[in-house]
Amino acid sequence: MTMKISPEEGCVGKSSLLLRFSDNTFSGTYITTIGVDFKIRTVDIDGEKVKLQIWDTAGQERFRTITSTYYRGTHGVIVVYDVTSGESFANVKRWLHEIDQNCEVANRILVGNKDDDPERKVVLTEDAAKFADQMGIQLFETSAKENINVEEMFHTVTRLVLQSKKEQQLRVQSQANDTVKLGGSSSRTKKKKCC
Amino acid sequence: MGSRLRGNPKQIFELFVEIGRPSEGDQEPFILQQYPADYGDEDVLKSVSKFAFPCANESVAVDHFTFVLTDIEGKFKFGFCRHATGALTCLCIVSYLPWYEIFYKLLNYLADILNRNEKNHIDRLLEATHQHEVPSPGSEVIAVTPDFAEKFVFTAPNPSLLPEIPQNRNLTEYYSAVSSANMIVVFVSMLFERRVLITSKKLSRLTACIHGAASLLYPLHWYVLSQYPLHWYVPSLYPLHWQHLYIPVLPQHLIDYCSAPMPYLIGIHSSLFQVSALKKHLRSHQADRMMGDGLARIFLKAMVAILGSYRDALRFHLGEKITFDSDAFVISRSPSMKPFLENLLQLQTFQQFIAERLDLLNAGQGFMDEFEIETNLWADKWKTDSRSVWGKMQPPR
Repeated sequence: MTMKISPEEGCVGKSSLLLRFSDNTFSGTYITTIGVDFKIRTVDIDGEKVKLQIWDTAGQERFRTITSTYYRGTHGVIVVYDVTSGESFANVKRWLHEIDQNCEVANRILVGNKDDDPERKVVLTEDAAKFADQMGIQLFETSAKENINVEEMFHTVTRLVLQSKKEQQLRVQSQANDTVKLGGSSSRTKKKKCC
Repeated sequence: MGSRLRGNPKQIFELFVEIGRPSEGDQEPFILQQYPADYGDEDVLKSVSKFAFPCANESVAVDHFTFVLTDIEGKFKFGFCRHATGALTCLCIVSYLPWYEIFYKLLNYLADILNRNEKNHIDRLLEATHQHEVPSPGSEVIAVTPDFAEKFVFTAPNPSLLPEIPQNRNLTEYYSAVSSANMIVVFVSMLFERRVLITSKKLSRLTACIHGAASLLYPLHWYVLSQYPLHWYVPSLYPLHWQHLYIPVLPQHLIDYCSAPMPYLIGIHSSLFQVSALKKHLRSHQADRMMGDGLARIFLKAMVAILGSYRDALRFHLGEKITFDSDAFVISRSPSMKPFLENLLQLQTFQQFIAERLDLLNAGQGFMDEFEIETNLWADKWKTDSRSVWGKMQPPR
């Protein structure tokens, strides 16, 4: 499954989150070379092995709006803000509203990173949680630096995507059972659309 | 700003390197000499060798190609390369300026000096060019070494003109290498922000086609603000900018990035891409009509027919900011166009284009470029309202 890490203002630590997640810390990063980076890891969800691919692109903060072409072909979106920057949280709120309008299916998760210094924290947990509740998504406060909550966050989002894929498969199956087939050649694979 | 060019670069070029070709398969290319010696961007220094030798490929003639590096802000740096037949090294210049023809000429000149074995001349000529201020459009630059032994002369490109055949090498190559049917397929695929992969067995053709294709839809031009004639190098707004991955040549070690799930424009040497070779290209018999900016203008007219009615959807109320009415835009053309225009609203490039035009209008800055001129002609022809609306929005001169 593929997933994207989504925008933020300036440096909220997307790349560090990605590095934390990665199996191989020596694999290097290409975000400052070709403007894109990805990491792969196999995650164990209830005994099921899931190969997770996470993609990150450079310079998204220049977008005022994020359109659906950017999410085409992804199964989930991790939206990251910096708990020490109110502006990054405001941007994330706008983007999440937009993803909501633009995408048919999107497993989203909200992440407040850099949660390792209470004195510098300006986005309160209660505010973020309230917003996440409104949007019907889960909130995680993490610190890539101190490796706090990172594993839990990636596991949760994987579980979320896996679950929705299974539900979708079931739907396709039950639809197939209801269908009367006319001849062998009429069966067409339905193209799955994830935003 | 949506442009991927860095505004007002401080130098004509950032870095020159001579890179050694690996003699055996498992070796990596390596930097033999560089200018300036104190160049500080480690990411660039680490990448140039691999991008200059993206695959194991022997050039059969002098081969010029241009790779692109993207920084953390999404801005482009261009790496102009020169490979020569049998040469053990490749010359490369890195710059923020997409001045293909000029840097290819400079690389030829530097190769000449190297062949004469006058290495100290190289540094002096590079220093003279590096210290020269970035010229305004259309002005002549003469970079001379202190002892007058070497001289490099060029005219700075005018960023407000459309690319011309045969002067523009990328567009000329693209036009001769790709059939018109395929040019349209690429044009539409880019417009709809799909994943576009181009392959060729010649690096020069590969990157020329990518840059050429991009220049028809998204000219990498600068924009000249009407009331600031001195601020030449403000990145262009004209009319869309590719907002996604742009990798004209993808080196072998990054081949997995072809599986990126987001829109991209990527070039791969055909030795790394085994599925199929490019079909034999078809040549049009109307080549003479494509000379000058003819070809670029045909595509620009197509852009106007698609985008030009954005003006009809601008809403103007006294004392309030100018806004864009999406619903009005969708019905601005014939009903058969409606689903197409609805899709257009979903594009990153389109949203960015509208946001920028609104910013400029609301800041009271007038602007006029080839796109707007063609839009006026179009509006005259089809008698739409956009011309009169436009007149009201232009600030008084």
